[in-house]
Amino acid sequence: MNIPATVDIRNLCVMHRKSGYLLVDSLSLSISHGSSLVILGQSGCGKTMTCRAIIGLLDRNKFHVSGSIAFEGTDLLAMKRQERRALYGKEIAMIPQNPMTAFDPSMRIGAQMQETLLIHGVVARNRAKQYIEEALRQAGLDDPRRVCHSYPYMMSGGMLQRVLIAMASMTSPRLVVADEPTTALDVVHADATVDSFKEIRKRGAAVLLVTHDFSVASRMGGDLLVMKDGKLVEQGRTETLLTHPEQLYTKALLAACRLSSAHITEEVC
Amino acid sequence: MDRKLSKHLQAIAGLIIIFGIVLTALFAPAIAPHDPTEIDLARKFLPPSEDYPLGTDQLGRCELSRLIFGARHSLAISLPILSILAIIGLTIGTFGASIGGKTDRILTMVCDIFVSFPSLIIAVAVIGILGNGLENLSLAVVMAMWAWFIRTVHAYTMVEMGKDYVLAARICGCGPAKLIIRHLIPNILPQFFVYLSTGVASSILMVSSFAFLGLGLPHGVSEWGAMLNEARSSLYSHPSLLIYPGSCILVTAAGFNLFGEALRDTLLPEEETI
Repeated sequence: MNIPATVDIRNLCVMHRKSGYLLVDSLSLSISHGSSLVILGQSGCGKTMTCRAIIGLLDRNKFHVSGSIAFEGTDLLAMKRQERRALYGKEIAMIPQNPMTAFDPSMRIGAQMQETLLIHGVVARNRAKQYIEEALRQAGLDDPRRVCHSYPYMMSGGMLQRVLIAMASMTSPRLVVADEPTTALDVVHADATVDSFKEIRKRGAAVLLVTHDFSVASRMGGDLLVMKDGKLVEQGRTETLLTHPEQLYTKALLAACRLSSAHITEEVC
Repeated sequence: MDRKLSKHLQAIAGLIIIFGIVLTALFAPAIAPHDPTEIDLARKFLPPSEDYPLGTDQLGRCELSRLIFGARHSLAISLPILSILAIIGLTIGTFGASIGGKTDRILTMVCDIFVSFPSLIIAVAVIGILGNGLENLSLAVVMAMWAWFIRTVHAYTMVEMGKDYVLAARICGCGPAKLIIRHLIPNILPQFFVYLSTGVASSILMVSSFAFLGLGLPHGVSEWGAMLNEARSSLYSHPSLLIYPGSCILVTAAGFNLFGEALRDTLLPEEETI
C-alpha cells in the first residue's frame, strides 16, 4: 500500500466561463513528499492557472474548475472556504511571481511575517520575533533584525525573494507552490532561489515549481512536465526529458532555447 | 514618520493654519472684542477702527467677532459630519470592493443613484421632513455626501485589490475582515486623507449655502457662508464684507488641503524607491 501523494491532481480542467476557453485541459499530476515537479511551458500555456487552482485563488464566478486536487488525500476543490484557509500559508505555501509587489507597502516586513505565524498559531506572540529572525537567517539574510524593521520599498528584489522564501518555509509547509519565482530576478539570484527550493525539498516538502526557463528546470531536477495550450505534452525525469525529449514540441522548445544561448555565445565571442 | 513629516514645509504650513483655526474656534469668546450677535443699526457699515478692527456689517455687528465665532460654527458642523462620512465610506466601501460579486454591484448601483441627486434637493427633502436644526442640517449633509465617499473608497480599494500583496495576504490564509483592517484600510488611508481634507472645504461650503437658503441654521448665526451671502446685497458699496468671510473659507480649505497633500507624500513610502 502506498502513502498518498502530497498533492494528486486528476483531470483538472479550468474553463473561462465567458469565452468558453479551456485554459487547463484534463491535467493530471502528482507530487509526493520530498520530491519536486517543474512545470515548463511558454507564456499562456496554463501554468499559472494550474497554480491558482491549487491555491484556490480562481474566482468561481469567472472560471469553471472541475476534476480533483487531492492534498494528502482530501479534495481541495470540495473543501469549504474556511477549511481551505486554514491550510493556506501553513500546510500549503505559495511564492508569488514578483517579490517587489508581493508585500504590503505600508507594513514592516517583520509585522507581515508575524501575521502569517499568528493567523495559524504556529508560535506564541512573545516567541514570534525570535522565530522570524531565525527563519530569515536560514534564508541567507545576514541582518534579520534590520530586515524585520524595514519597509518593503527599502529592500532589493533579491532580498525580498529571500524573505518570501523564509516566509513560505517558516511554517514547515508540506507543499510549496512557486509561480515563476525567478522571472523578476537576475541569474545569480535565480540560482540561489532554486537552491533554496532544493533545500525545502530536502526537508521533506513537496515542491511545485512553474517556469518557462530551461536552466531553472535543469538546476531544480526532479520531475518535469511540459505543458502547451493547457494540455500535458510530456512528463518524465528532468535529466531524461532535457536530453532525450520524445515529443516534437519539447524538442522545438529545447532547440529554441539552445539557439538563443548559442546566439549569445556567438555575440560575446 | 514624524521626522519625515516635519521635513515638509507644506505640512507645517497646513498644520499652522489648522491649529490657528482650531484655537480661534476653541477660544472664540476670549478673543472676540464684541458679542457677534449684538445689533446696533446706528453703527452699521463702520470703517475699520480701533474699537472695530474690521468694521461693522449691515446690522452694525462687529465683523471680526463674527468671523471669529464663524470658525466655531464651520468646524463644529463640518468635522463631525466628516468623521461620520469617513466611517461610512471606509467600512462600506472597502467591504463592497473586497467581496465583489452581486452585492458589490448592487451597492455601486445604489451609490450611483444617490450621486445623481443634487445635494440641495436631498437637503431640502431632509430638512423639509425633519425640520430645522443643527442635527438635521448635519444629517442632510451626510445624506447628500455619503454616496461620494463610498464611491471614492470603493475606487481606491479596487486599485489595491488588484495588487499582488492582497493575493499574497490571501495565500497566507488572511480572512476578509483581517484583509480589510490590516491591509486595505492602511493602504488607502493616505489617499483618503487627501480626499477628506478637500471634503472639509466642500462641507463648509455646503453648510454655508444651506444656511443662506434658510435651511438648518437659524437666521443671523455668524457662519462664514451665511455671512458671505448676507453681505451679497452690499456687494458694490462694501465689498470688504464679502472678502473677509470668503478669505476665511479659502484659508481654511487651503490649510486642510496643504496638510492632506503633505500627509499623502509622507504616508506613501513606495514612491521613494525610484
